[in-house]
Amino acid sequence: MSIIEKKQSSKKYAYKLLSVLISATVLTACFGDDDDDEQTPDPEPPVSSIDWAKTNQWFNQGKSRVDAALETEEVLTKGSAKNVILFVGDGMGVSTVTAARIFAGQKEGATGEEYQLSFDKFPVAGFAKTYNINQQTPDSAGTMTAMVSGVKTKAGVIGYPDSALRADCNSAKGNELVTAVELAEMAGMSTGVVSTARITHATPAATYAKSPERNWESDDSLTDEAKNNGCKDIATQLVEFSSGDGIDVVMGGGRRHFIPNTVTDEEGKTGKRTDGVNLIDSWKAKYAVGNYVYDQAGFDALGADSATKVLGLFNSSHMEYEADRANDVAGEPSLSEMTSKSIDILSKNDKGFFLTVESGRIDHGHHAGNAYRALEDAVEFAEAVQAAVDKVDLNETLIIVTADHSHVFTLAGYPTRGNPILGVVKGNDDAGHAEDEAVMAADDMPYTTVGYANGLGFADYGEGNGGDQRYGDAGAAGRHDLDGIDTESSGFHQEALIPLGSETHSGEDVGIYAVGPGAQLLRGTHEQSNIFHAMNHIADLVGKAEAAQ
Amino acid sequence: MFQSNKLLTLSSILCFLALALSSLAIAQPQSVAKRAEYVVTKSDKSSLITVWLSTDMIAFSEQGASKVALWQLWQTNHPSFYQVYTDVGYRIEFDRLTSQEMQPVLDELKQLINGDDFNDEFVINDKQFELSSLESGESVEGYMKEWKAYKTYDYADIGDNEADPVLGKLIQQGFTQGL
Repeated sequence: MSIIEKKQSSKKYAYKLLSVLISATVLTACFGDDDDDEQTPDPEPPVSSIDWAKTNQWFNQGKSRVDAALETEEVLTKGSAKNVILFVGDGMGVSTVTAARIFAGQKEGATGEEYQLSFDKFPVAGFAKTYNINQQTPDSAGTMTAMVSGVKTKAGVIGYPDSALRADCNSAKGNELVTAVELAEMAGMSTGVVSTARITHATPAATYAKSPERNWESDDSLTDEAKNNGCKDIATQLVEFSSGDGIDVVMGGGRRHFIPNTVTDEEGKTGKRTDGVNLIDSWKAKYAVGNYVYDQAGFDALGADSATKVLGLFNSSHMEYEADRANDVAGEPSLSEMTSKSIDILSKNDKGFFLTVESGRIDHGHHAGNAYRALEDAVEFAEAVQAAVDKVDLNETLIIVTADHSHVFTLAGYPTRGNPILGVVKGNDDAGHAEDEAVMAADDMPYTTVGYANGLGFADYGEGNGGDQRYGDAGAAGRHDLDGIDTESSGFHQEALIPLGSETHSGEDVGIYAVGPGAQLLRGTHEQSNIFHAMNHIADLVGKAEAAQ
Repeated sequence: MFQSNKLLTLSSILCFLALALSSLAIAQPQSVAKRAEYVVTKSDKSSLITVWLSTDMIAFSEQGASKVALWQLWQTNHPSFYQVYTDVGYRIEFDRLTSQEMQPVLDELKQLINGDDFNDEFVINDKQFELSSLESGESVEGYMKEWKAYKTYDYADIGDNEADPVLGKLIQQGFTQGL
């Protein structure tokens, strides 16, 4: 008997015991004599040993949370979810969630620690073990393949099991995995893939493509071996996607992988393709009723009521960081806007929809060692989740929020409550009151709460600068005197311990947050591939796909 | 008779060759790729930089360095900035923001250019630039074209590709910030 079965059995036994006790009490009351009634004093309310006046908001919130949990119905019936939305914060480990929460709260003028991101409020949370088949610390290709196909695989490999050798077409061909997006399309559901990264980048690509090498985004990257053995680049696979009636909504960056290197796009950038094929034209030819958009104006003009097929490619490479979005050449929609419009378009299908939304640039902000941009994108990601919560009926829609992997990003020291999350550490005095002066480390220099275990390290570019600019300067790992430096500005890059060319992913578990039917399937600590199985069960993707064939 | 026929044939051949050569000259686009070396002097200290120029690319490197700062589509409003590592055949492509941040360097570089040619002498920010050598033609153009075939990574993808043993070391070097 499993632990869960034992618990359920105990629960049933407890109910039986309770009914026996109630019956006994009632019987005693019925058959007891009148003298007994007179001798029994009036029951007094129980006297608690706790002075409830000393409780505070956290005590009351805890009680409310339990009350809400008691009222939350557990729906685990196969096929009970009409829609599924999978949100992936790329690189959004638990420390990033904590810091983003504080950052968001402090932006609203609060101390921050008590703030709740949209998915902090979800009733169910669990953990995912993110390792790849061949790497303790994973990459996005292997992790997203696990989430959308249910099969763990190697780092760098998309849509193939671990029998595939990375960047070896011949070893992979014939073992293509089926994804949740393909199953949903086969089932007649509507589908969408949204990302702020290039739409051909590893995470979004894993939803629709099969490629033993994540960098084969367009034909110019394919090796001769790949071409000779029939492997196609990822952008081509997106346009040629053949399950159902094709992916209905595609929005993200990566325009350069769709146009030839002889063509300059709307923002003055050249394409990458060497085969001369303009895949945007191919997509338009395939979907005569489709809408191709490349900027904010085109996005705003999209009518969700009438649009059925949308291809939105808003940048030559990745879309802008949220912190820099306002400065984009042609203008880009936010992740929240893309999420809202996608749901409006997809929810017209009575058979339901499957949507994946990735915030791709949390990861890039961390890699560059720039917590400001990583956290701005994480906060916007939480806004996108809220936009989805506001749009859908949670009685029929499972929303999962998770990350593909974490980063070596830490919150350290003993900063006082409400200390700016990007600031230098200011602690408390002996009485527990906040101090005004920064805490000095053993080297007599201040230090920031957030930092990185590795990467390029410190840089101070000033407000509005920084981000990927950091890759242009030599590494500066280790300690630096932060006295007089605005560590909260967007141009500040946190210190790093181990000198590397780029800050790295980390190997610890990531959170899974869920609401809606089937959410309870994700309680506990899971292999990341279990996320697919939860989605498949609750939306009965395989069953519906088979029934539709 | 035989002689005159022979002469006729010879002149026909010569005419044909002349026509062929002239048409070849017309068909062959004139290479505008140029490579210049400048002596840069400031406060009695001199150094040497190399500048490359073509219709769609402009680039420079410091003396003895294998790192080249390159702008593609440099004559447009949205040039893309690259860092080229010629010794290992790698390129890193930077984003719009970094390209904008490098715009002042590009603007300085443009001051060395006069039409399709280089200025002989120029002063930029108290630095004296003096042309010391100039080379043009197919060899320069071919060399610049090679850069496009280099293994190219997007700046933002470095973190996901640091397993590439070359890339991780390259990025730690930083790149040339200004002239």
